[in-house]
Amino acid sequence: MEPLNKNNSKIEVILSCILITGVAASLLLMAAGMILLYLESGSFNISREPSMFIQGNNFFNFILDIFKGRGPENTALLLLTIGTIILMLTPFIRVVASLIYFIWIRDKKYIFITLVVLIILIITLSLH
Amino acid sequence: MNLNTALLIFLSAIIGFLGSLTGLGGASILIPILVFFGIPIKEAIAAGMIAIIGSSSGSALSYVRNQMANIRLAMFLEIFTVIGGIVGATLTVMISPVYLYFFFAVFLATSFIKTKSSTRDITDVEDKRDLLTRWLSCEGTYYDKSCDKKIKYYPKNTLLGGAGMFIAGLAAGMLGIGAGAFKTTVHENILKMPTKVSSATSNFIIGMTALGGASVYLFSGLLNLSLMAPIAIGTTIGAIIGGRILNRIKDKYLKILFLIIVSALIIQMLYKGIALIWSL
Repeated sequence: MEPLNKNNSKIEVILSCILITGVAASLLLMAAGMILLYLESGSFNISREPSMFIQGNNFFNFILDIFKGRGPENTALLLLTIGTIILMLTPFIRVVASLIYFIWIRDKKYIFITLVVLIILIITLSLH
Repeated sequence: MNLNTALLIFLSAIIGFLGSLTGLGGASILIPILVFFGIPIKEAIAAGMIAIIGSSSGSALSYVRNQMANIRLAMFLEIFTVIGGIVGATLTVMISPVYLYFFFAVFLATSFIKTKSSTRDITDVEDKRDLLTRWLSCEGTYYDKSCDKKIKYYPKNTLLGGAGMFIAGLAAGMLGIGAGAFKTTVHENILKMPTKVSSATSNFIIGMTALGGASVYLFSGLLNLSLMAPIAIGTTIGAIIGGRILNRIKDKYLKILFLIIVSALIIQMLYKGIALIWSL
């Protein structure tokens, strides 16, 4: 099948790659975290202990904290947390990639529209 | 019966698979099931929101590769759904869970509304469009396998479509679901997009809406790692498999089975909501 719309075909391939990489990485980390959790606790039960809940007032600070080693001390929980972060970052990076693409092809309208989406996301992710 | 990780992955995979086949949402079925197993409704909603990012990105893969999704229009509509998603999630965090049971029941009931596909009046004429739509220049082409043709289409009514998408985002953020069926209805009936493009574009948008909602749930500390991980893994795997065979299966009985499950879930949500009111 030849590309139907040459303008769109490249971006579609790029966005596919971002989506697949993000989701695959996230799910692998989550799976690893769950297996570790099982090995540690010896049970498959869904836990509602406070340590299972993640909370961050600012998504970007939350990521920074984990990079600085201020995340969960337990490896299983750390893997699960990073998996969740990567999953949440996937659509975010998709917007950033779209923005770069629209800048690349100098599509002013869509640079504007994509910027609006990006700004809304950045505000909610950081301004809580 | 006790809910454990293995059972949850299994259930999520089946629901994700059936959800992407029938178009009747995955998370909207899964959340009432979690509630059935005794998970507090707000936690179930927050977990659903995260899982949706995975399943929508997972099934978007095959759509985007087939160049069905209208990426430009999706970007425009995301402005509305993301705001809707954030507002919806904020409401859920603030209100009493009682309302959520009833909202959920009402939302599930909309699965019974038969949406009439209006694919026939797709505009292929440029000047039927309003000013904003023309400015957006969001027309697209897609390749239809069934008739081996490239089909060009011109979406219409983008502003009204945006308003519809705000409502879809509101419901999605509030209930932790994708609201895919609602989004597709807006795409087809208001924006006049072809059916295949509608579902592909809707899937693309769902992930972004879910991120808006998820950020609110992260802030409120409702995200439970041991609950989210099995759901995200299960529904995503289910959705990827389902997305690959989308449009190849059209099973009426499957849909009937799903609607029976939905009826049971509606009754359960109403029961929980009423029981909660009685206990107050």
